[in-house]
Amino acid sequence: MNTNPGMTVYKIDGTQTNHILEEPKKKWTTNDWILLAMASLSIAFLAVFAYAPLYGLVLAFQAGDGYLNILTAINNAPFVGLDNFRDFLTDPDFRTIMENTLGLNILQLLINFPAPIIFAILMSELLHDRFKKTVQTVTFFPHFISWVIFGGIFLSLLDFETGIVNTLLVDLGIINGPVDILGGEQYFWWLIIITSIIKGLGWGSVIYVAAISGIPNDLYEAAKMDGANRFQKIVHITIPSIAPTIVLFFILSIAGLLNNGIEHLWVFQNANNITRSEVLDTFIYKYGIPQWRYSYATAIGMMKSIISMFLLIGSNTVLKKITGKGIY
Amino acid sequence: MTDLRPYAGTPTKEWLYKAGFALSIIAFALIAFFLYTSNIEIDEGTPELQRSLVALMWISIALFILVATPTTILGVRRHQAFKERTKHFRKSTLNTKFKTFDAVNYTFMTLFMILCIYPVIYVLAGSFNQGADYAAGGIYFLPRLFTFENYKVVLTNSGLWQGYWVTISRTVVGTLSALVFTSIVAYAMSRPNLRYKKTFYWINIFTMFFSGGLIPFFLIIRSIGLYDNFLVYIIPALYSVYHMIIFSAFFRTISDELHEAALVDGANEFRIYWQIYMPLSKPVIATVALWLAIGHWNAYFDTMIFTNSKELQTLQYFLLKAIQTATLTEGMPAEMMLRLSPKTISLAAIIVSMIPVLFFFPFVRKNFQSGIMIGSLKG
Repeated sequence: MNTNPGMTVYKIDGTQTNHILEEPKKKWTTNDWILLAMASLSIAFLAVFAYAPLYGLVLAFQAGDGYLNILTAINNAPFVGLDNFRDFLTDPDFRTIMENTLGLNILQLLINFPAPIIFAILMSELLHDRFKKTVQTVTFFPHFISWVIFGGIFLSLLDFETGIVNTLLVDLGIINGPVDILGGEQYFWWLIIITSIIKGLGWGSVIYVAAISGIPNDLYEAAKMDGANRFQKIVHITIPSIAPTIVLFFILSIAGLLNNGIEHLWVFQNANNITRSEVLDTFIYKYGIPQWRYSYATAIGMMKSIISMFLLIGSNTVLKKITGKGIY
Repeated sequence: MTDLRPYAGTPTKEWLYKAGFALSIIAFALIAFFLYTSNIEIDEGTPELQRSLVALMWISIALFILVATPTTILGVRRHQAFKERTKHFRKSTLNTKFKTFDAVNYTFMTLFMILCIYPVIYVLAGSFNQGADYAAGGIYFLPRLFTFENYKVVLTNSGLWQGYWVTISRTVVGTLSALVFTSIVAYAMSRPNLRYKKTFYWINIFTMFFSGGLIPFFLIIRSIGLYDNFLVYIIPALYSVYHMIIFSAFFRTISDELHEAALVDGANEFRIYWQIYMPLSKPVIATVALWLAIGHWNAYFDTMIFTNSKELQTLQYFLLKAIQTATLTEGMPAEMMLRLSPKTISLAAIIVSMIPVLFFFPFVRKNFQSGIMIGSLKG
């Protein structure tokens, strides 16, 4: 049976049907329904936990502080327009918070983003497989313990009176008296940078190690024939080969420019370093949940989401133009 | 073609050797520990305690000899077999010269490893030290005034065990349910014959670009009655678009012929997913399960935001409280407070809550390799 559309079909008596046959619609089988049901599970989940909160953004334009049920809040709270946004922009803390959020993140982009790449390259240059494996295992370890434990360990290491860093430096005569690293606001950013390097370097390099191990060996052998030294091999073979992976993760880190790991910061934040440790995430939490200022915190969160989305789209477009590769 | 895996097909029993090796290390550590404790000043140390520590030391020495001897014999045989197998390609690895760059590189790697490991040693030493003595500082590798008292305080605290129970149950239930839920969706999304595939895809992807933020999410949780409910740990973590993408990328690599054969045999899509695709996807299941389990085990912010009652406190949250506000020494008699300090007690709490991770870490290490492969598959 010919079912192609637009085909003339001859009947058995030689006459010809002239009308164009339509493509018959594929019937819905049981399996189609099963697949649809399976995929719909995600819709059900996202409707509640991703799209319903989007509807909740209406709250940002209302004075809906203190309502516990979101529907009563949206229905009953008075509409105030952009007041919540204006309140935040004129907040006396606004400048510090934006400075901290952006400053900390840009510093992390400059230091914590390239660090795993360099680490992976250094690791690929190790000669002994046993040693390489040991390095990988040991440096993975901090990733597996929580920020509470890791932070707790560092709180005791850096303690003003008893911590090893202070006692050792004083004993060695490098500093005159103990330094209050945990309470000093000028140290906070570096504290965050260094702790996240120790915790994340091994794990962050996994993806680059995998990318490097996928580079064919012939390339290196050919380069050796041409007399390339090790540094030249790294610059001309290793880095160009892992460039797509680097681009991908760069886009993602640009998009996260307003996100600070709140689980990380929360452990180290205290009343003494608050002027350097208060970022958007902690601010939203503090106003939103313990103080019940839902509308205000929603407005700040909404600004954050919108800027993040534009950062993602923007960085993706720019990098697509430059390197021809993006994430979508 | 020779097998390039050096240990493949070695005559000795591999698992026996590994178990023996692990046991001898444990026994050796026990010897060192008891040897150390039976010779040093112990806080609140009675003669009985001292005597039992000496006895324990002798027992662990006996255990060590018992385990280490056969392990060494196995190890020697294993090493000989290894040498035999790698004879043909050892030359090529040896002719690379060790240069200055390598020296710097190896030193750097060693230093960084020390940086990762040393904090744990420091905490271990502090947790066995008497509190008042610890406050004087200067404890780097070994406790100065040895005591078990910090651990006694931690282990008799009911909040710790409650936290353990909540964390273990949320990790087990949460990981299993999320694996099933995510992989069901991922299977459907990986099938080319799914209707409205584009729509499903974009509905999923959009949530990665734009989110409502913390507060609307919190209010939704409150409105649907999950606030201060154990299910708040499970249900919002059931599904993640990122894990779904990784799962369906793996499902797509499974040969389509299997799927067609099963269809011909009359299996429906769900059965194909459950009985054919899932058993074939063990590496990706192991990897995502590892991620999910770590996430569940380490999370504490959801306890802070979504729960209120003490019964729902996770281990991590309990620990956070212990570190930040010295809850562990609350209501303690004054003469005990003279010797104990909240600092050493929270160090003991850190060690106690780290034990499961330390225990499971060597086992999950194997999953790293498969995790790497899947990660690169996505990138």
